[in-house]
Amino acid sequence: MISLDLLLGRRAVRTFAVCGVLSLAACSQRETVDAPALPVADAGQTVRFGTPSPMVTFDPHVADTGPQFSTYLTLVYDGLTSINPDSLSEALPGLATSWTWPDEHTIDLTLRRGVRFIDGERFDAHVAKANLDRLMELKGPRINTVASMYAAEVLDPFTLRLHLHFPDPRLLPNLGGSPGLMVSPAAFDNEDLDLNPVGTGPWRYDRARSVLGEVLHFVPNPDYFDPAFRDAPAVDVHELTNNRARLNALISGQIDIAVVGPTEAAPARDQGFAVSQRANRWFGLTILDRSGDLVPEMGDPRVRQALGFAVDRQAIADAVYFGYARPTSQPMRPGHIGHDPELEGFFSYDPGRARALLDEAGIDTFAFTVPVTASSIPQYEAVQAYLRRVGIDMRIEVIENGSIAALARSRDYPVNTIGYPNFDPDSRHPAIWSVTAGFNPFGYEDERLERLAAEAIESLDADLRHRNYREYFNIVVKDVLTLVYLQIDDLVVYDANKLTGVRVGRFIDPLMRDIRLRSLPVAAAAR
Amino acid sequence: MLKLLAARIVGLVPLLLIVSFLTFLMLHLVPGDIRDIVLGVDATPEQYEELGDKLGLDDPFVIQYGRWLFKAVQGDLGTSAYNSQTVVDAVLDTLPVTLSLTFGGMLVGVLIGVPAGVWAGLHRGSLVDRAAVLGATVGQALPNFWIAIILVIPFALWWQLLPATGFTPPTESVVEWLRSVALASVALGTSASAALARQTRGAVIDVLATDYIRTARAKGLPERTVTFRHALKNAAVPIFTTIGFQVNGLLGGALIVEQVFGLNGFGSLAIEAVRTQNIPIMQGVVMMGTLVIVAVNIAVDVAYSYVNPRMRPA
Repeated sequence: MISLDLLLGRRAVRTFAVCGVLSLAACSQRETVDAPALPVADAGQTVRFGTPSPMVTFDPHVADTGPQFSTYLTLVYDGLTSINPDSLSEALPGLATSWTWPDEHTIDLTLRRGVRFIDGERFDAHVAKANLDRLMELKGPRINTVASMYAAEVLDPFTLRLHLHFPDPRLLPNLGGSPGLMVSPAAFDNEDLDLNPVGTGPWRYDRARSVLGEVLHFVPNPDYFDPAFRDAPAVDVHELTNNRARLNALISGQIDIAVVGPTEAAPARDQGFAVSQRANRWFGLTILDRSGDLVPEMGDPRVRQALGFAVDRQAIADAVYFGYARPTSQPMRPGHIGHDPELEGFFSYDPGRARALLDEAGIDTFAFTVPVTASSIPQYEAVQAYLRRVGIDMRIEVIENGSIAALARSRDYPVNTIGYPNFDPDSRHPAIWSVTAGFNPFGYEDERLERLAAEAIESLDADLRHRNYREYFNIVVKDVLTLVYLQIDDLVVYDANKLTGVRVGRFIDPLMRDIRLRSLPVAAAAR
Repeated sequence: MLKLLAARIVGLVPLLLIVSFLTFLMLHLVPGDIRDIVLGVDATPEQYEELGDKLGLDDPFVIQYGRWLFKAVQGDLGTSAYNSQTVVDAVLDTLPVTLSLTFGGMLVGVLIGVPAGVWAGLHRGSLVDRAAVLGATVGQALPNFWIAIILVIPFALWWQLLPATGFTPPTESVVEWLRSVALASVALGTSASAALARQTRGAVIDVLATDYIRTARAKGLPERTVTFRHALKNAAVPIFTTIGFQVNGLLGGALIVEQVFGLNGFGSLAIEAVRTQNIPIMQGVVMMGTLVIVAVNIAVDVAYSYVNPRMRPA
């Protein structure tokens, strides 16, 4: 055998050994946090969740309403209202138990009594007002979703009045997102509020045991006001950005539940894991050059319709999404405001009709370029192949992750591939289809859309809103201002022997508050 | 020795300046905008402008770099662009993971590569030699992330002998730490062992052909002494050079392999920082990576001087 002593000399070996051990030990010292010790649950009494979404901030007033909100913030905070996962336009009670509209510009919220923050502070209308004032001062990323509100007024300790610039049917549902989450006012000035949440939620964040980027531990809040959470298990959130790593962690028993893509759902199902799904997003082409400024052919609605008829949606749903997607022609899914059942099959797979539309427009062949991120290449290559068969040359340009939105705001491409979740049309109109929308860089204007949206956005009449948006999306679909091919499912796979109550929420991940262990933890059962 | 260290430390200053400037420049050239990530797809132009002002994104590049550098020279590498986590904390949380993989991979590489290379060199032309050369060629050809994916299947998913994901710090449990980095270390170490085997074999063959080895044998020294005391000690210089190169390569390889094992190391931190345009974190990762590589190179220089006194500074 070779001896290192012989090669290097004993002194050198000792020096290297000591240096190595010391440096490794020094590097292993993780941040020590001055925080109270919280009880530690064993793995059997813990929901271990694998998510691709890293924790960004625990300060809800500067947080987005997305996976960040639903994975982390809803564990430790309560909102004035709660999001209804099955309805875009209805809010569920939260820290506000009920509400009335004295007039179209005013909402009175009746607040829950007997609620305390984890630092002991009481929740009341003064605290709620202070939170809303802070929200409006900080102007976080979701401030535009509550832009109708300009002031909050305390009527009595448990009644809060909201004053609105205009009647806003979306305000209450939007207060169920990150803008409406309540922070202890004593923690407003905490420099580490973004890493150390102080809310009223059903769980407390165990910062001392957590490592950002790796695993975050949450333990049940024993003082939580809602008895429905007495059997709440501990929650560990494992940040695993790689899809395959999450699947491996699930199969090897390191986690119990994970967000996955369609590629991972089938093997997980084969291994005996249950799958929960919800159609949350759509896949298609956002037409930017609606007047044909950059690619003249794009200005003709018949050409844009040809893009719709040329593609076999079902084949892509089966081959690329493994069945976890369904063909559609419209952005809104069934049950959502603006959805029109008659539009569902507007585009069928009919390459002959696509070719005929191009002939009618006097076009033999034409080309355009789309920016595509690496993860979306397979589905757009499938579209590309179908379009080529009718004489349309769609060229794919691979772009960096994170640059797609900036490109959609530029005038560099006639079409964009940005994916949208199925949010409410009130926020989609000013973002995509309005003449001033960021994703309408060529300034295409359709007065019908402006009128229909303007009426709907500021109306409390549910029938009018639905009617207007149905007409609105008939224009969007038939004039092909946006071409929707598929409704795509968000997928969660889980161990059904251990967990119950698993449902995918509106933002990729499961509704964490609903999940329970099949067998109660001993301590919870005793309660 | 102190002179050597002092010279390296002085040389580190301009190196860090150049690296920090180039990193800052490249991050500004990467397409994308942090505002799209922070504000989402529904952001209004006003929100866009306000956030730009707040983060100073519209300032000239030189001003932004100067602002960063001014704080950095005072020891403040800043905080994440998204929360109050300091860059130093983010780096120190992830560094043990990547260092564990790098040194684990190197250990695997040395334990397999050096003996295989020595054996092949001492028995040139034999079946063992040919097998070692073939193994080294295959080992260098296989990408380490592919080896990682393959290793996970039997050891973590079928037999569940080792964890599929996650890292346990050695301060928590040495055994669990070894288990958590074992597969990744083997995946990384395979290509390192292949490179080391080839280099060691060549070095041993070269040394055995020198006059002083012939002289030692002619003097009647036992073969064991000739091999270990004279041949291998002199063959060690190119081996250490290869180890230095391999450690640097393993650091890069670890960034990819971390993804397969869901490890929160430098790679995960760097990829997330690039994806989210988190420039302070990215600068921290590159600065720390530079320091680690310089430290490895200094260690290699020190090792040279131990095995070959002629290379010690005067």
